[in-house]
Amino acid sequence: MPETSDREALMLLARGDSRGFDLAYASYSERVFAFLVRLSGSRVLAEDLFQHTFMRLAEVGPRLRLDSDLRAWLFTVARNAFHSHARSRSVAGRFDVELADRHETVTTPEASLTLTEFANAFSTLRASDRELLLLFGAEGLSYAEVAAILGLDQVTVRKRVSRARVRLTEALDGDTTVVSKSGVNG
Amino acid sequence: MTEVDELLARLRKLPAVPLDAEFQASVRLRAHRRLRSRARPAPFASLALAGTVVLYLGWALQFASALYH
Repeated sequence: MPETSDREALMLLARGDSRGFDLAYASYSERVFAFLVRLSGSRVLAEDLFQHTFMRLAEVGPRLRLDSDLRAWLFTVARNAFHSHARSRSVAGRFDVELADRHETVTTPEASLTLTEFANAFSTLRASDRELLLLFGAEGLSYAEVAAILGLDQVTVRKRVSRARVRLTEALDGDTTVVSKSGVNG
Repeated sequence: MTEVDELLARLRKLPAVPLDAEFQASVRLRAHRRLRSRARPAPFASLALAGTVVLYLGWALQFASALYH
């Protein structure tokens, strides 16, 4: 269900008012960027894709329907940008960023280590598993919302989320035999 | 199920990834520019198009009325 601030942002965008962009940016920029960094494993690439996503908002935003789900729209543009880049460059399995490099919320070395281990295990998953877990787990989107973003039906999303959870558990247990670092859809 | 739900909870606890302030400013500036350029149609092009349509309709009207005289 679109939030009230989404509607306000879309109304302003429809009038070509840059405050609409700022409103959407304030609501979603951090989340979209975190999603892209964790999906791509590269801060530099994430910045490119992030820029692309928000430039698309400036371009297409004025024509979006007022009842559009802005969050879902932004995540759809962001993940499509990643996949189209991954298809052309085959970058889906490479990680050059430490996903747990910030520990502001972690108070003890043990907790920090656990977080790093978790982030490392997460980074060994394939891109298709990462995006599912990021959208469903980190973003807290519903199965229906994830299905809409990925262009799949809900039953398929449920099955894939379940499999991705299993693979993450296995990666955390150090069972790397079932964890593949292959491409986006592999 | 509790164990896997804990997995999702840990995903939610992953720390924020901060955006560089300079980068953010540049994205917003470019987006604002693009938004403004799309919001304002080129006035010259619009006027030229409207003028052409009026001229054509005027000519068509004159031509049609000449046929019946």
